[in-house]
Amino acid sequence: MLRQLMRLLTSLWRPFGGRGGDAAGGGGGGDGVAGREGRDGLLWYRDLGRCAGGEFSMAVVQANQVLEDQSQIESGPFGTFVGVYDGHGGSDAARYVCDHLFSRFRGGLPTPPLVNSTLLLGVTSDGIRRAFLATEESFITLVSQLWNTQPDIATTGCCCLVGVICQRTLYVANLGDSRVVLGKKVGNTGEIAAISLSSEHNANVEAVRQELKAQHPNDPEIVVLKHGVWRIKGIIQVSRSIGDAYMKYAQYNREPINSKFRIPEPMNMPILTANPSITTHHLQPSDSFLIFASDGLWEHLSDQKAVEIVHSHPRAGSAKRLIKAALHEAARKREMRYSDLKRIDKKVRRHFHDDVTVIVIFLNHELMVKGSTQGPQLSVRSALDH
Amino acid sequence: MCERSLFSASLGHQSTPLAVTMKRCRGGFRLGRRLVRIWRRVFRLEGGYHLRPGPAPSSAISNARRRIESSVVATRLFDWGRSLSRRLRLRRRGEDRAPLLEEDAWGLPPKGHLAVYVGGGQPRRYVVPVIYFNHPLFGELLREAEEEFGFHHPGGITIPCPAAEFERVRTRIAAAGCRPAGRAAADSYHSKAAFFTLSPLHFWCCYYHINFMYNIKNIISVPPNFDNLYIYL
Repeated sequence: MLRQLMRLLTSLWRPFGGRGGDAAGGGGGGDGVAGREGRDGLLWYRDLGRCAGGEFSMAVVQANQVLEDQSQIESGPFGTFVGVYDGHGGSDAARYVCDHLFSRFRGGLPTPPLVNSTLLLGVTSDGIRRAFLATEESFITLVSQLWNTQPDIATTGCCCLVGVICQRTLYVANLGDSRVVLGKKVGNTGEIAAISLSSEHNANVEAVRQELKAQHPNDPEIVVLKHGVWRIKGIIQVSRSIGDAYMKYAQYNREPINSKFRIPEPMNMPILTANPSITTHHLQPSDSFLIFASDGLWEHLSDQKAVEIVHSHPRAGSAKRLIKAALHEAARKREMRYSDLKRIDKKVRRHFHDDVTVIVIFLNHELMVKGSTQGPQLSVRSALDH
Repeated sequence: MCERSLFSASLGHQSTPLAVTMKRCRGGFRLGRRLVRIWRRVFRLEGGYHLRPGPAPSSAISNARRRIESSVVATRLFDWGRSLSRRLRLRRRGEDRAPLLEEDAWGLPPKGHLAVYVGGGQPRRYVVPVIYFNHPLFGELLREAEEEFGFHHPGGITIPCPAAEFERVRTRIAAAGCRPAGRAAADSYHSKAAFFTLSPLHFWCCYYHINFMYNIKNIISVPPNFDNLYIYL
């Protein structure tokens, strides 16, 4: 009887929970776990959901006038596909990548396998690279079509971070300055270690500056320190992206694009490229969770701090918790309270923090080994705007 | 004030030492010491009732003395509350200085405000309501800041315009009635000040009222049937 009373009280507390159906969830009846979805001003969150590799938690906060971050989680027979797309100069490139990258990746996979093994599932580094290059090519085609009517599309770009969990292998493809961090349990101590699995293509990294100088030996101003950060030609920080046609093709670096994007010298070769860095990681039983996030999070939280926050709290709401911790830190840096930061409108918020997207994937190794063909089909995509 | 004249009539108009202290003390509002002083006076009175063991004094003369002493404390509390509200009214005009409710232990401005640094060279620090940031005029200043410093400059928000221009914008926003809806930041600040002014006064008034009604039994003879009535007065 007590149990029935508790059940009644719980259902009163959460009248819409427990059924797992929500607007963003979409895919099938496989998602049986109550994924609480909500919105808190400019912050959107999905506390917990189930995917092929385990469980996920997702959250996005908007700072720009138009949300320039997009993200998606796709779950299918191949495993789990996680994408975080951090746009800049506008939202066109990020939306385009979110619409097309996964379909190009899935199109490159062979037909559903008869035997459950990684080789037959068809996920390879080359397949992911081809998907990136095909998306870049089609976006540039779109830019050329819209050049006369919408020339601003030539100055938009997108940093892409993709993670594919296929059986017990994790493929990470990075293009830009987003980052994925693995939370790994340390022996029997109960502590958690943070391991960064991607390398960033940002001019503030010394290695990237050296690489650019080697590629452009005749250009002394290939990287310029401006406003305290290194920028390529004094304009953009990232060295690889999808889009940014004005940095890749000379025909788009002329009138009528905005003068702040114009480069005085003629361009002999593309300054930016769309070739992703792809790494493969074999997942161990001690690998607990993955944090995929755009640079807005890592600007305020260190890797270790982020994994400790996820490790020391319940799974549900991890992504929202990380974003709130980052916003607390951003408010502290600006000598104000977090509660006051929430009262600032978008666009003005950009002076305090950037758009932040966080996806936390909690790894379930038994589920991965069992085979993802029986796993839930899932397709979650962040909203276009908040 | 009519209450004051009532007390003055019973006292023979004594100058209150506390009020004199308040006048003398400039440029500093030491809350703690004054509260301790008041508390000590109260305890001295209270000691006559509770702390010293033995029968409660029954003579009418000692009761009258106690009534006089309690009214002295009430007067002093009243003076203190009025001077506090006067100080807050004056402070409201100078908003750029640190408000009376000073920054907390972490050095943050009061709730609903944030620090902004204005001007080149040696920037001047202003404390501005958060709600101003959403105003279009302020947006223009922030656009200048973005062009000059970018979005990621360290420290507080820095605006490169001259201080005069910033103050002009701020005055215009304030004049336009830029107040947050509902529980306003500035209003809550002033209502908190009012709370600090009124609440100890209310407390002590209730305290002395109860004490007075408790002791009235000893002064006048209350019929046995109405013995419990005094509680409700």
